[in-house]
Amino acid sequence: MILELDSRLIVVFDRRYSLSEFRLASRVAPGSYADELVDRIHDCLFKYPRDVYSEYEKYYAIEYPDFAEFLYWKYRVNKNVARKIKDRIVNGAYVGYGRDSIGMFGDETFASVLKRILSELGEKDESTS
Amino acid sequence: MKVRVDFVTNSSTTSFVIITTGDFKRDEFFELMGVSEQSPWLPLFDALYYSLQEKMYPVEEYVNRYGTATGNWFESLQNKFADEVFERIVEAQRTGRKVFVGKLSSDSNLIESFFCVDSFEVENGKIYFNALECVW
Repeated sequence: MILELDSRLIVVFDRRYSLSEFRLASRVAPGSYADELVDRIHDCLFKYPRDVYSEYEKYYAIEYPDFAEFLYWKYRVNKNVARKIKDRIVNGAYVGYGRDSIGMFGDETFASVLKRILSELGEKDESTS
Repeated sequence: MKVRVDFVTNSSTTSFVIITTGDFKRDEFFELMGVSEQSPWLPLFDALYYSLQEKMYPVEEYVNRYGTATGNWFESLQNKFADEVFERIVEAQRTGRKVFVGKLSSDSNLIESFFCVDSFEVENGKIYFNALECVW
């Protein structure tokens, strides 16, 4: 799941996928422009975002006993979506927050590309939005 | 990524140059960009290919459409592109290769918009693709 909040980004996946497995599933030629793009997309989704749940546990758990409430008040995530994210945390999902979106995540074609890659990586919830 | 330290508007265009030994073929474009038919990324580069196809013109036609009326289209191009790119265009014309020029816009769909603000130059033996020239 990718939520674009203006130029900020909340990403929710089963886990943080490594660059090597993301690259492997992408099947692009090493050293090519597409390879470089794959690196950048990976960094944007899995490398640079900070771990929101760790942040919550470390600094905010007392102030916000409920993780979904925290997502709503701190990141302005819609309450229904916040509850879904909270449900996924039970299974150890990775919730990341990034400041820089690449501006292409809302595109249907891009969403289908990412969905296919994540599916190959075994992601259970492949929704990208 | 292009960075401009000046007044910046909300939209941009990137002029691109494509030089080919023959027609601008889809499979050769994928090879240039590093995407195989089996890659999940194919649809994204397909979208870029069709955006380029739609917006590129043979160099003379492009200058007639968008160039300033200086009379000499070579001169118009020289003002528009970096020296190295202009020299490539001249050399390509001299050796009978095809030269296409066009513009990608950030006001178009999200994929075209992404490639518009990206900055790159790629080439192999068949195609040279330059998308470095950004006009904000």
